[in-house]
Amino acid sequence: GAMADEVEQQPTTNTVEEPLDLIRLSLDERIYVKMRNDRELRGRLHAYDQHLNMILGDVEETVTTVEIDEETYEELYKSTKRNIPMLFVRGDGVVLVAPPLRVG
Amino acid sequence: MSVLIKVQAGQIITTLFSVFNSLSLRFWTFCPHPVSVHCTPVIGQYAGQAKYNRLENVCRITLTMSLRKQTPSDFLKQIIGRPVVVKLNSGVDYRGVLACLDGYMNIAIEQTEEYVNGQLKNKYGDAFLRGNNVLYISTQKRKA
Repeated sequence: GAMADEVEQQPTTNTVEEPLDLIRLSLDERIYVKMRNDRELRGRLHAYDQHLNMILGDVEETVTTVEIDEETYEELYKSTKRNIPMLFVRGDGVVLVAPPLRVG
Repeated sequence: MSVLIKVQAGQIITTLFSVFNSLSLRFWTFCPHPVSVHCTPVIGQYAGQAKYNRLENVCRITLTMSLRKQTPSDFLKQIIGRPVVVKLNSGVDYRGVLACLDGYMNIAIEQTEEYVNGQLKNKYGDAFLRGNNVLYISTQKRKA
């Protein structure tokens, strides 16, 4: 983007780390990824790049949908899960990356 | 841009310029009574002059603003470590302490809370947000 052109490139890691440097710390760890279209992934991060393309292993994908009952206008949340042993994720769909959520 | 503000000695005035930080200017050199000028927010740097007219009992303040070229980058450097609100294009809100960010607006936040429709939905210890989804980054004013 235009703003990126104005920011100076940081030399390797003496000064403030970039957000991507901190993702590097999650390599080989399990992570939680929130994607567009109400999708979530939980898997082991094997690789990533500056676009946030990722290789995830041992992945569980959750797709969440909302059905609205036409009569009662009740919202019914459904989630569909599937497991994928190895997955390439295209970075433009990624919204958020975090260590896995703890329950409770 | 220059603004001429006519002030009574000792009067506190507030003038809006544009968005980034708040700036307090205090003129005492030419004025026997300190006059405080609070500018919210600032887009550039200010050079100010104050002249006190004894007859009229009036302090005239002239502020001249010069635009700085790198203000967005400077703003980004300044807000690191502060509590921020990040709003995504999807409308979801994230609040937490800004750990770092880059020129693409990729963001790393600590102690993140996720708000959907104003309701707290999730908490993350660390969260990385992809810059293309970010609508804005704003500082939160904390009441002490």
